[in-house]
Amino acid sequence: MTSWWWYLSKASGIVAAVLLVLSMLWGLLFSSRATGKRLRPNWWLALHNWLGGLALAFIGVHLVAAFFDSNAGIGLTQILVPGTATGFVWPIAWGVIATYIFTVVVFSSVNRVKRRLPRRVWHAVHLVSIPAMLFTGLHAYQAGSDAGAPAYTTLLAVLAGVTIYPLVLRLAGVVSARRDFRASQ
Amino acid sequence: MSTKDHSSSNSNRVIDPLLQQRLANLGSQRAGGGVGASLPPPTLPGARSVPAPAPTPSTRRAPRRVKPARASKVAALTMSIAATAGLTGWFAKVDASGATAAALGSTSADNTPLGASPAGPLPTTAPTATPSGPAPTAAPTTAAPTTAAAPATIADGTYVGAAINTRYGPVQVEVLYQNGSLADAGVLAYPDSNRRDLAINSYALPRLRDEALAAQSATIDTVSGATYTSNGYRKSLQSAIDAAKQSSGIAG
Repeated sequence: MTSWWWYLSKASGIVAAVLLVLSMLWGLLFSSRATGKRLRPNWWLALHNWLGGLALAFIGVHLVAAFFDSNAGIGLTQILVPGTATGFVWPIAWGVIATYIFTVVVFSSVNRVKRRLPRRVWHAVHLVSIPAMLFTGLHAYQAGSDAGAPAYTTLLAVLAGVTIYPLVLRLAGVVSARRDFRASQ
Repeated sequence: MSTKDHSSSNSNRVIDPLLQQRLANLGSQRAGGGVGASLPPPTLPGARSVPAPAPTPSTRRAPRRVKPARASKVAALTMSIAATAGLTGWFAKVDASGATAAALGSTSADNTPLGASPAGPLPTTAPTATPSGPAPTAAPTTAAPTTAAAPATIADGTYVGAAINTRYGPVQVEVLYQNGSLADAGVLAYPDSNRRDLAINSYALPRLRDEALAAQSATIDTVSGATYTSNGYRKSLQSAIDAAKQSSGIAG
């Protein structure tokens, strides 16, 4: 039975990582207005929100499965407090920090909360999800028990590429737009 | 309020066709919808009436608001659950068939010489155990005893235990007997396919070695956080001790 918790922990971790990347991709496409004409913008935004929440749910499954896996050495303290894992401190700590950040990002985007936050504050909180993606990648590579497998390494590389490429394009677009704005003034 | 001269302006007044249609519907509703019982649509004096256009979809009642991306959301949820279940089953199948090492394609048997801590690349995150007792030498990995000890004791020499497959990879122990006692217990193979394994084994293996030397047997405690490595180490160590006893002609 213990082994099944371990398998579930690995599987849910991989699925959560994929959902996070897809959510970020949807968000970047929506914010840069590169959504095309076929689907309306509200479709992109709705799916971006949904994927983010779904990713957080699967992170929860990942944590629960790791907790119940008696051989993983992950207890409540290790889940809640970064830097308390035995044997490899930072690989687990990256994951804990990323989980906290994503929880804040997702819940700050719920309509009821978002309406009460100033737009700038909400936006700043949302941008913190970018370094959280980096922490997720570090956690997946360093703590993942399949990190030596070629298929897993390839998947991580693909996810990194899917995250970095549109992010760079988006940043380049923002810089270009600001430059044009200043030049026009 | 200014009075308007309706007589001249109303003659050119045109009623909006949509308004006229709605007035017609209202009139028919008031009359109960009976045949021939509908009231004539009210008109303004002097106004020209324009034939009402045929009902178009735009004049019908607006459809109910549909949540955007509902189908996509359901599809995403379904695929996520299916992917998780599929991956879980696949990991279980790979583990059960004993092909984990082949599937990962990374576990390797590391020939660590006796007396040295497990390989150089291991990070020294835990206090490392320095070899105690007689000065260790890089002994060849053979099971042949070199000296003839007293019949009741194990002959000096190195003895290799069986490679025990664990969840993370094989563990194999080699023991060195000198003067009838266990002098060293090094590892020939341990899980090292990723940083996590290396980090765990960097602190677990030296502790297991120390315990084996202290106990002079395979009855040693599990190292916390390294259950599988501890189990594999224990079994391989016992196998090596059994091989030593067998070589020395000691029963049991």
